[in-house]
Amino acid sequence: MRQLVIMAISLLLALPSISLAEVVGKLTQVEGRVELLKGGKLPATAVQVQDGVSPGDVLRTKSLSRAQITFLDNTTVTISPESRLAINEYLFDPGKGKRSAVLELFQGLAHLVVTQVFKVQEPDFQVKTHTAVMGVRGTDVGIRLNPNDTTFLDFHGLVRVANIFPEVGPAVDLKDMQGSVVGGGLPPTIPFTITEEDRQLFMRQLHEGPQTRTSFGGGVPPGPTANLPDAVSPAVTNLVNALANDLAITPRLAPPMVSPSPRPPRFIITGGSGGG
Amino acid sequence: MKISPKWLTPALILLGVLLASVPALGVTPYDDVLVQKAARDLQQENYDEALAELNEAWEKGSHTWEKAFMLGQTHRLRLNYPKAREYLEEALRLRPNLPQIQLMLADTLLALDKPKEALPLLQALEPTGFEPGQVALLRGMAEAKEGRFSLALDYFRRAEADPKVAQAAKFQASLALAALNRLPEARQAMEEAVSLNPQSQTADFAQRYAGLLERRWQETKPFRATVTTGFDFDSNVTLQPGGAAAAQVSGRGDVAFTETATLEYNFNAGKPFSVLTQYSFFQNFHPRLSHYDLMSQYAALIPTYSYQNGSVWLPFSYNYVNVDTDKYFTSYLVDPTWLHLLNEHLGIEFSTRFNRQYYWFPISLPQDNQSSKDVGGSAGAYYFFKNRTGFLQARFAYEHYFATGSNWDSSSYGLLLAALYPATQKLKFGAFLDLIYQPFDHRFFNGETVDNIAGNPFVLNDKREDKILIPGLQITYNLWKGLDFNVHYFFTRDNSNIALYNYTRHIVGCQLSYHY
Repeated sequence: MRQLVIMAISLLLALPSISLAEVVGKLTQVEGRVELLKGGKLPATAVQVQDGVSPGDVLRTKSLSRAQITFLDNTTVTISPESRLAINEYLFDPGKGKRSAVLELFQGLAHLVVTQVFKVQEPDFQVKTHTAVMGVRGTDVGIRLNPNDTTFLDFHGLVRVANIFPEVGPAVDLKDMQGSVVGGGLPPTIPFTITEEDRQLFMRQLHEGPQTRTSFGGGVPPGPTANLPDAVSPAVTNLVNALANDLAITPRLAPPMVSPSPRPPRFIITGGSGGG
Repeated sequence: MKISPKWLTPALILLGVLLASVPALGVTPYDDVLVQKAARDLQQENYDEALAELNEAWEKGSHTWEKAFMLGQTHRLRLNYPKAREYLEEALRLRPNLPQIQLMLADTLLALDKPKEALPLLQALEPTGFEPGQVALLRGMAEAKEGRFSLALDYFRRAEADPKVAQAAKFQASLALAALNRLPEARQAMEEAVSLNPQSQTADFAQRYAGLLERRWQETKPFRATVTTGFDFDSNVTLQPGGAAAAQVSGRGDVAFTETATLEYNFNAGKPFSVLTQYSFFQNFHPRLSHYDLMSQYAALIPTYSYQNGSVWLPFSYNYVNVDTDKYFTSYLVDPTWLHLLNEHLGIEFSTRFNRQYYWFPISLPQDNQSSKDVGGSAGAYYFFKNRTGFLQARFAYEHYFATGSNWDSSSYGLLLAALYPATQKLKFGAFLDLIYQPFDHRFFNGETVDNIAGNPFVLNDKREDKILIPGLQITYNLWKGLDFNVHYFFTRDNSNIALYNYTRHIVGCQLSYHY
């Protein structure tokens, strides 16, 4: 009897704290083994679609499992198999156009689609990783965690990335179809251009997971272009290609006053012009 | 660094053996329960639970290498490699020389970009014969991170013999080959890596890299060649760049067959300092107006300096032109150019131009001698889009011709607007508009006398003034690899106050070109 009373009191004490845990989003996709650590604490409980999430919660997916959270502001976060995501903070006041969200990705891949962008001085939607912090100004971003770095792929919108320690170096702004890698203790790399193929590759990884249990050893490189030797700046070489190969057709009946290949052709002046 | 089944399996077997021998190892029953529970949780991917159990066992029980090893592995699975390193080092301290710990620690250190610290572990593992493929792969990666790509390549080749790591080894070998600038081999190795397991994520990356390698190879290969053949209709066959008036604007149309061959060799290609050499041959044939047939040879030496966001070229070039088998024109040109990218999309270009040109055609009046020295310069800007495969361009150019004959002393002010739009990877649209204003310095003199009577005073003409408009359109389609098909249309309107040079011209045609 005494035990029952204690249990009842405990339950009553627990109820207010449960109701205080404000639901800030719902699971809109659950595939496979997806579990939630309420308040970031064990035990983990299996979740299903429409379950709510609150600040402090940690969501984890196991192999061959995926999940998507849709927050109150319609921001969606999709996480890959073998991921772990914490909702550190989430405040949203649609009336005042205010939002303050901080997520933390501990492992795996995440895809964010932030649909509402408010005019604020600092990014109001942040994602932290073990090496970096990213401020999202909208709207479509992929994040991939590697043991010693984080790759950010900005498919659309403006994103600011920096090392998790501000003193390490300046932040870098990413625009549409740009990426950056932030290594441990290093500032973000200068933005590199990403292609539709990179996006597709990321989406496939998001679906399949980072395969941490299936590819020991060589592993996969962190970014699409990060490991290629870079004797000549890709910027310049791309430029050379574009300029040398594309418009380089002189009017047919003129002698080919060939300009250096990196330059667009001088369309040679025929007829009365003096020297061509 | 990731864990594979072939690695996970021995690790779990090792854990199983450890757990079976727990009592013998002096682990307390309390530890035993927690560690066994942790092992089960690890298998079920309950990493949070496993970590909590192991931490408790570590804090409250004895510090054994087995627990340290499991803690290291758990932290790795949670992507906390710095913490994993701590526990794996502790495990190795408690149980020196155990190859499983050495290998996992070496891999962890490599993932943390600590190749110097990983190397002694790998060197110790090599003679043991433990997981030789895996060890060779990691050794290769350590050497590559240290910049010793040739040595790394040797290890990757060794690792390729082990089917368990063959794909990863091929992939890494390709990167090492690329670093050694052996791009064709790198490309081949990448293709082989894909073929080993096309469904894997490594294959996905390999495919992506293979494309980049192909592009890099195209950009940095020292030798290039282009051959082009074309067919045009020219509404008003005109010699360029001028000459005896009667020969210049025919006033008649004709078709023309054109052939071009260009050879290039770039010394030190792909490096910041390089020297590009070019030779180009051009010829056209007019079935009806064969005295307008033209043959041109061009050679250039172009020292180049490329840096992160731009390039500087210093081209020296020579051009020789025959018209209808007669020597017609030679020129020597120095054309320094600087191109700089301000950001991802915007580039600026400046150039100067010093040209000495000679016209060898017979002339009847000394005033008509078009040979000249000319100097000039240009300033332009580009706006790039679509990953720099397309651009908008605006360029202003000025030149002054110091000609031998007074009829040709002139200035030229030109504005070029151009655009290239890649609709797809294969289909490109190009357009340009060239506007030139060319005022001449002196009154035009053609030897004409009043009423065409010898001895009468010469007719005084105005100063010549040309306003030239040249728009053009072209569409290029890539048929196969380096084979392009192009259709184009160019229009020229020279509005000159001297009737001889006042003309209109349309050129429409197509061409087939092959780039190597």
